[in-house]
Formats: sequence, C-alpha cells, structure tokens
Amino acid sequence: MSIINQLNRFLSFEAVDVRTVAVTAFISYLLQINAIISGEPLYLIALYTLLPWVPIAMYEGVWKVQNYAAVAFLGLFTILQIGHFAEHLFQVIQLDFMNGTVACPPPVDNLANFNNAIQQGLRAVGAEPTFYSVEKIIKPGPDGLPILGSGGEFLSGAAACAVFGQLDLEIVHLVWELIGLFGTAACLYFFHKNIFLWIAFAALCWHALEHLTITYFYYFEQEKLWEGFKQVWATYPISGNSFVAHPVGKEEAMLNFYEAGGKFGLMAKHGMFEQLTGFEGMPGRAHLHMGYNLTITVPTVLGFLWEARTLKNKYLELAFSSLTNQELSKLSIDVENKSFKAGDEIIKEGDKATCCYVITKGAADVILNKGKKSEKLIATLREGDLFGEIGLLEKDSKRTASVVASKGLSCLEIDAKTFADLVDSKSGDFRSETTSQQIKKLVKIRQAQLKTD
Amino acid sequence: MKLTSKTNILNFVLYCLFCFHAQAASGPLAKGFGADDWLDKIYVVFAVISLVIITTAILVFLILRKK
Repeated sequence: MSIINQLNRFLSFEAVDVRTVAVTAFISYLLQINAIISGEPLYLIALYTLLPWVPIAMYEGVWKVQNYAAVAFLGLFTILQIGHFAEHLFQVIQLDFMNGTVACPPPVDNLANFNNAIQQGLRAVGAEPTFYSVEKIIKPGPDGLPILGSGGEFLSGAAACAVFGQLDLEIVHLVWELIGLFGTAACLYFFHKNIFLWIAFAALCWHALEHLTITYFYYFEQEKLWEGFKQVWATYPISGNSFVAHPVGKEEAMLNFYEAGGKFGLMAKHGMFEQLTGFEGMPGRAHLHMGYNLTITVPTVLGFLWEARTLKNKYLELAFSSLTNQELSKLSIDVENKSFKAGDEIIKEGDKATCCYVITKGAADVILNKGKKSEKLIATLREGDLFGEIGLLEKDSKRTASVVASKGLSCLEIDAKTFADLVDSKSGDFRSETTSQQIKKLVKIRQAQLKTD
Repeated sequence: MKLTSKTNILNFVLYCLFCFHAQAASGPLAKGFGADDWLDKIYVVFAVISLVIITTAILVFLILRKK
C-alpha cells in the first residue's frame, strides 16, 4: 500500500496548481481535436496533444528533483525510458499487426516523390508538395513495384517507424542510447546497491556496442563499393493530410558499407553475427532493438520502484533529521503542498492552531503584534525551517505570533494529528524520541525568544 | 516550387531539419555483401568493444569509488 501511495504522490502534479493543469488539458484537447478535424496524420495529432504539456512537465520535473532529490531524477529518467520503449513497441505492433513496412524515416511528400506521383498519374497536376510524412506504405516487391494481392489489389499497411518516425535516425538512436547509459550510471552513483539498475546498465553497455558500430559506419564509411538499388516512391494523399507511399520502381545505385548491410548491426537478421557464422534466424532489427529496450526498461522500472519505497521529501529530512527513512517516507505522504504569495499572512496571532509548516521554497517573517504600534520582526525563516508548531503544543492552541510570506513561499503542511504523533514517541507511526526532544527543545527556545522580545 | 499553406511551410522546415540525416534502416542486403566485408571492418567492431569496455570500467570505478 505504501508503494502505491508513494507512486500516487510522485506521479501527481505537486508543484503545478490544479487550474494550470486544467487549462493545459483544455488547450491540449483543443489542439488535438483541431488536428483530428483537419485530417492531420497520427504523428502531428500526437505532437499537438503533447506540446502544451511540455513546459509544465519540465517545471514539475525540476520541482520533483528539488524536493525528492536523486529518487526523483531516477523516476523522471524511468518515465523517459518507458516512452522510448513505447516507440519501439509501437513499431513492432505496426510491423506485426498492421501489415507494416519498415522504410524509416517514412517517405516524405517532397518534390521528387510528388513529381513521381504526377508522372504515374497518381495525383492531379496543380497541387504542391506538402512535406507530410506518409502514414501508409504500399508494399514493394523485388522489382520495386507494388505487390498485388489475390484480387489484384495493392497490399498496404502502416509505415512501421513508430509514432514519431521522423526521428528514426541513427544519430537519434545513438544519442538516446548514450543518455540512457550515462543517466543510469548517474542513478547508480546514488543507488549503487540497486541490483536492477546494474542489470539495466549492463544491457545499456551491450546496446551501446550496436549503436556505436552502426553509427560509425553511417558517418565514416562513405566509400560506395557495392552495387545495389534504391527504392523509388510516389506519394499522394489518401484522406485529409494522410499520405501513402506508392512504390514506382528501383533505381540502380552504388551503396556504401552502411547501406549495403552495416545498417543491420551486429546481432540483427542479416547483421554481422549471421554473416560470420552462417546462422540464420536472428530477429529483424526492429524486433531485436525492441528486445534490447525491454531488457533496459524493465529493470529500470523495477529499480525505480525499489527506491520509491523510501521516497522522501528532502525538506522534511532537513526539519526532522532523526526520523528513519521509513518514517520520512510516511511523513512525505501525509503532508500537503501549500503555496503563498508575497505578503500573505499564513498564520495570524491569536488564531486557533490546526497545523504547522515546513518551508520548501522562499522565506517568511515571524512578526509579533502585527498591525499594532508594538509590531516587531522576530525572525526570518527559510528552506527546511519548521513554523506553527508552538500553537499545536500550547494548551489553548492559540497562535503566538503571525507569520507572513516575505516572498513567494512554498510549504509542506503537517496537520495537528500527524504533528501530535511526531511529538509522541511512545505510540503511532513515528517513534523517534530524538525527534520528539528536538521539537520540544525548539519550542522552548522559540517561546523564550518571544518572551524576551 | 512555391509553398502556400502554413502547414506545408512548417512541414518543409521540419523536413529540412531531418533530411540530411534521413536514411532508411531497411531494405535488403546489397548483392555480394557478406562475411568478408564484415571481416574487413572487424577492427571497427573491436575498437568499439574496447571503447565501451573502457567507458564502462571508468563509470563503474566512479560509481563505486564514492562508497
């Protein structure tokens, strides 16, 4: 139950308020619906849907790293890995279940493909190339012309390059792989006992071999020594802005090492292993790399779940340094995030005390006799400081001073019941005698300070 | 060629960003490409293996040194 609560907390928006989330969701749906009505292809619908979420996701991500430290970094990294794996998985689904063709990045409705379509009489003269990537591909045969079905129809299916197939480039694969490798190493720096992360790290090292080799051939072996063919496409719209690639033949070309066979890499079908051993039966590149990413993503997720059991807010750790990891995790779930503008009166002298706060960002002034002639600034509190605790320990539960946000302030609110549990070391969820003593000592010091002033 | 629609201009810009990298990781093996060609380039594979081993060793050292 604890891990579910921790995840629930981690995956929800904590730094961004509900109104901002609602407005973002509204804009996102608006753009999505507009893209659907305009007949845009899937990749643009997905792009328009995700785009409004980028700034608030980044803001929230930075906040999470500030508040939960390294575990938050691991969590965000895990989410990115899942997204990456989802792209590989979707490509395999397109290939196996949507009659897909791997021609990646998918052909674009550029001038050459546009002119080919006009020459073949596949589209009307007078239009212009749109530069949309195709969503569907008519399967080409060995002669570069369409394969016909039993009824003489073209066999077509998805362009099997995942959702954002335009990014299906060797350099993107390599960069992502290296981000994964060094990102996992950074996580291991903090969680070196996490066996799952070590497994992911080993898989990433192996994966790096594949991509470094393929990318080297792609950029540095340019000599064209092999005779081959290049597929020629014609592109035309099939519905709205959804385009299809129609094979219209092959043209002879001299190919470099990558184009001739290096593109398959070390272990995929037609790759180095098959060529050197004569063995046939390795999975195709799309399937193999989906498998690689599975062996990276699954342990990364497990590694994160393992660490998330002790997800704890670092400001609570500052305020209550003697609590155990489990107690800090429990407290991190129990608290609520609160934000105040500069000048907001968070606590009013004389009011009934119902909670106390730990500052996570900004500063607050403790003021005695606020609004009176005898008004006096007692102290300025900053990140990690606890305030509002005196009233909770007083018999009459009255606030002894006012607290005003001196600039934008973010706090964690601890309710009276949880605070009472923190103070009582004999029962409840929190059993730290040292913490109980620390709070009582802090209250005594502050009470003495108030009396002196 | 003239681009009249805003969407087409956006698509054109995106296309230009990626077209120099665009290369299909698909299609068949070239005629005559085989084991000998891989053996000619085996030094690349060994160099990459060495690079990954050294990088891994440095990272493992840095991770464990702290503890």
